[in-house]
Amino acid sequence: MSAAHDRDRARLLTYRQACLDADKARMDPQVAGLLQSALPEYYAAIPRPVEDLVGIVAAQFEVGGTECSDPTVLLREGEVIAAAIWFPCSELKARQSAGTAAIARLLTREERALFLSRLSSRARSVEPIEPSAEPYIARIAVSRDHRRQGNAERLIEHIAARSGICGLHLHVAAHNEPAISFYRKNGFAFATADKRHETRAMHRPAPASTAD
Amino acid sequence: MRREEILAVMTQIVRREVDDEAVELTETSTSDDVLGWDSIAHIGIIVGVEEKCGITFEPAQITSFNNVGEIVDAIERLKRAP
Repeated sequence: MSAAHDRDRARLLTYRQACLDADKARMDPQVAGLLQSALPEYYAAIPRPVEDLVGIVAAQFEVGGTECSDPTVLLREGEVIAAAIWFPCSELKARQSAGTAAIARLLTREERALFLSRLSSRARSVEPIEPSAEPYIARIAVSRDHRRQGNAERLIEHIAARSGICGLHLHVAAHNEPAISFYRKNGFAFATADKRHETRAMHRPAPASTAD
Repeated sequence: MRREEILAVMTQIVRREVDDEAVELTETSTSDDVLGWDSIAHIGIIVGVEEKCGITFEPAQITSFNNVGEIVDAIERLKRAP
């Protein structure tokens, strides 16, 4: 199938709406897997076997107010081929804390201590993003068979269009050259020249106003 | 649970989470007063308190507390809720 044909037939909608349409109450493991793949370093901190992680992401979706509560998906013939999550930067701290608490509740006390200790080490190397009304893209992922077809670009432009005239923010692993290159091609640049963080902030400025 | 009991539970859990038996809490204590009570330790404290008190905080509540007294207030309200 051609990329153009794929794009034509795919539609964007919130995952909650997709679940309602399909009469599903729980997050599909394939979607949970996609969201997990968008932030592997975070989920690797959970001291559980890999096969448990998909269920843990699904649990984050079921609790309102977490990072994973409100995904938007690109749906083609009933299949989720890409997913993204965004919310205002001002909600980042509250949503991260609610999401981490949702995971911590599923763990034993020993597992929880290990998980939080790993996150604590990681948190020190994450470049901060100031709270604002501008969108923060928390996750963006495309399923393996649908990559290099413009689907991630379509999600980014959807977020930009839905957010009005304002900039976009995200975090990226400093070693993830393919991701950094992709974001640069889509108008993002590092938010600062500070290279000390393992997870860096990127920013796409608001488009110039076309008003006279 | 009386407020003093809740405060005692919180003190016990904060001591465990920041690994410091010398921690003493009052209702006006804040996370800034306790060395090691950062945003990650806060999650351990919140989930530990939930387990001990048999409650679950609303997601938006977790980062909304300004001091220990506000956490005690929230626990009292959740314990009273049907």
